[in-house]
Amino acid sequence: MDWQAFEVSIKLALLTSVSLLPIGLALAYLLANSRFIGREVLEAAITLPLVLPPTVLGYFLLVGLDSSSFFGGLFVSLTGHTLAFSFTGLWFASIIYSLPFAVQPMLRALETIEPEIREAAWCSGLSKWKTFFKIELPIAWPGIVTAMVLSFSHTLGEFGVVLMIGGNIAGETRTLSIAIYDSVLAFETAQAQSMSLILLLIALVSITIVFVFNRSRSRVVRL
Amino acid sequence: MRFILVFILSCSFFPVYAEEIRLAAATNLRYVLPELAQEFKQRTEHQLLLSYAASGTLTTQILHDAPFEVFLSANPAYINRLVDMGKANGDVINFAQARLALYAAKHSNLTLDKDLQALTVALKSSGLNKVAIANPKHAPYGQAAETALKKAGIWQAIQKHLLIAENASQAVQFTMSTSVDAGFVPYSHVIQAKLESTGRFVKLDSMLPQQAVLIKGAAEPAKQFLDFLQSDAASSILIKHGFVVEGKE
Amino acid sequence: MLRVNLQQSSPIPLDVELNCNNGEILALVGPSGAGKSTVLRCIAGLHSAKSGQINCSNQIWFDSNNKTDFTPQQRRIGMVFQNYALFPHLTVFENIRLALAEQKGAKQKIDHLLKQVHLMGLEQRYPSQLSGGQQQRVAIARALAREPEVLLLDEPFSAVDKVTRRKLYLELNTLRRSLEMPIILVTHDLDEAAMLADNLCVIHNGKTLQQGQPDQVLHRPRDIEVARQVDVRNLLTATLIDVDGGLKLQWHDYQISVQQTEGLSADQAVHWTVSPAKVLLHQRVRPSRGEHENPVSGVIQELITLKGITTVLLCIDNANNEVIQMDVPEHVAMRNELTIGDSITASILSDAVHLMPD
Repeated sequence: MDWQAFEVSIKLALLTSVSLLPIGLALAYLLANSRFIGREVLEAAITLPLVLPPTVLGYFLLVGLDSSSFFGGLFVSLTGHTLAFSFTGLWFASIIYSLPFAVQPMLRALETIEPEIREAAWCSGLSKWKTFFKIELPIAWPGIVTAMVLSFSHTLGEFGVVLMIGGNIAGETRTLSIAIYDSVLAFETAQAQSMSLILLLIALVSITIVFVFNRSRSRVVRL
Repeated sequence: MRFILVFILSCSFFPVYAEEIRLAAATNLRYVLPELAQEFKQRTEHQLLLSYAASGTLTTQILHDAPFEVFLSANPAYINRLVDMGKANGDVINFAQARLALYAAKHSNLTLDKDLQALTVALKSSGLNKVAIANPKHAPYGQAAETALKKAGIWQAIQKHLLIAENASQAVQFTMSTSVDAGFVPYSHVIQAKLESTGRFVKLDSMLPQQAVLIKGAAEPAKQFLDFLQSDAASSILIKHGFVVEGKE
Repeated sequence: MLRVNLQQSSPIPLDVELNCNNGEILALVGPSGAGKSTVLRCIAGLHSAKSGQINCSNQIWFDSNNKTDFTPQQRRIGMVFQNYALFPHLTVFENIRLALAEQKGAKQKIDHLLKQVHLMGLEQRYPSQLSGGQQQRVAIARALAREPEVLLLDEPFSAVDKVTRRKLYLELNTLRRSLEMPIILVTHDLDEAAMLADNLCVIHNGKTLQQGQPDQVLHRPRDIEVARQVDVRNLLTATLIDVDGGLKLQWHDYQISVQQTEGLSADQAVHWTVSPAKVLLHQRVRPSRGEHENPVSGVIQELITLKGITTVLLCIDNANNEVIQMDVPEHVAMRNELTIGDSITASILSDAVHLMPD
């Protein structure tokens, strides 16, 4: 059991899902409440990582964001790390990779709120911010929790992108999924089995929590 | 009418049934195998279907009844595993030795030498960025790299700088990144025209035994290929691609 | 006092002018898609018309000339939406509390409001646990909690059943006596408007056609367009002629004397209408003196009795089969044994004839 790899995986998944909370909310709010030209294009772009093979994403990140490129250089100057072969790079890649898993549930949840409810809040004197925090957020909360858990689990299971741009550095980019793969290739079956079971358990527990949470909440709040 | 009959009959006398042979090979053979396949086809009409992957991956697949007939690898451990599990058919053939090289792409400033002295100096003076190797846990080139680094006495010290690739090909690919100063890669790769022009290299002393074995259930053409691998024609192609063939120059 | 005038051509065409005094209910009536809700949303600040002005209690909320456009939060409005738009995740108490203009003394204020709308004891319920009528009352209470300058009701009764609706009408009537703000009620139900409103404003295709007291608008529409919107019965055409220096209506073979002829002249084609209640049956049983006022004769085509009134569809003789509706008390119809196919005569009261230019 590679506890170091486990730690890397958990750290990556937590950081990614926490980062996706404000990013996902901002994008979901924008898409739910504005009509602008290119709105569908934006939504499609956000959904892209859902349908792209991880190798494609890995390829573009590796080649397009090499330190010698403009964005790659920018990344290095901003974070002090290269995009490839660093935990920061993985974090960045995971945000992109798990973005649709965060935005989609949040967007669906916000969309079910009738526009009249927001308008009623404004007419009652609440500013747009207050309306968001006191009305929209609480109503959409189950969708937001779902989004967080999904992006956590999805990042936990990330493999293809990590394989391509991680560099398998112990303690930094060697995630549990990579460690499992290495163990399989090296015929360390006991190791591979125990690590796989742990990942399976975590995924199962987190998704069950989401369902239980959603069910108990919907008993009180019926739109 | 008689003509057609005679024609059909006469066709059956030539062993002209072009068979397809499914071959599993480690990635370091990716540049030499196509040429070997072509030469083999010219002689026997048989077609090689080539699958490249990490030796470990291929071994696992074969153990689970993947329909390969021949397995080529530079890692004796995997070949032995197949034999032990009863998946091999016949003897293991050593048809060549593969070489290890230290390669640096154009952007790298690192001096390359056989004993890895410049590498050691760079490491000690904190002037070293990343170094790519294949995964020593299961890739033969990674194991060879580990041996070489241990021999130079810098294996422990260099740990933090190592980028571990899934297979030898990915190690080559890593060296292209500007954050990577050098990589331990198959010699047969760096002498390809493509790589020669994008960097420099030095041949290291390590030798990896290149082995081949027939998988259980292999057909006759597969046996023919193994024979071909040990022939002079094959040897000259292998030598051309940077492999060493014992007793041949 | 609320003064509104708005114009725009898109996305929904508007050409609106309306006024409402404090303490009065103005009903904005028109068919679906007429723009009623849009007008309400403009007053609320949820939509900004391309040009116009909205003035409430001498505050200019909207003025396209100097780009003034207060947000809904800046205006003090109480809006009741068609489906109430209550906050589903909050209790009744919290729904109202969010809207309170001033948070101090919240409990007393909310209790007072709930008492006003007859909802005591339900503070801790969630909207999903309330009936339609109760939800509507909460919506009103929430709107009033804001201490608004104007109360806006967007078809507030359309989502409830008829029985509940009648109850709510009575409650609104009682409630409004204690309110001192202009109240705008949007509805497509003319009867509802007639019952509740002090003023009626008819809107069609975004254009306000006529504003006035319900009796005025419903029975003396300004022109044919309004007449069609308010579902005037007995809408007919005729020509004015000069008879002995005075104007009469030449309708087929009948010459009908009329009284309101300002602005009209001889030989002018007009639309005319008369309320069915002002077409009097010449009773067979008890003849009355007014039999000589604008008599017409016809054959009864249809009899419809509802709530004590019998509506007689009378096919007028020599009038191209045109039909005039008469409302007769049910007992009168029975006493006169009115049946389909009977020939009867009736009088059209001349002071009830309303003329509209063509």
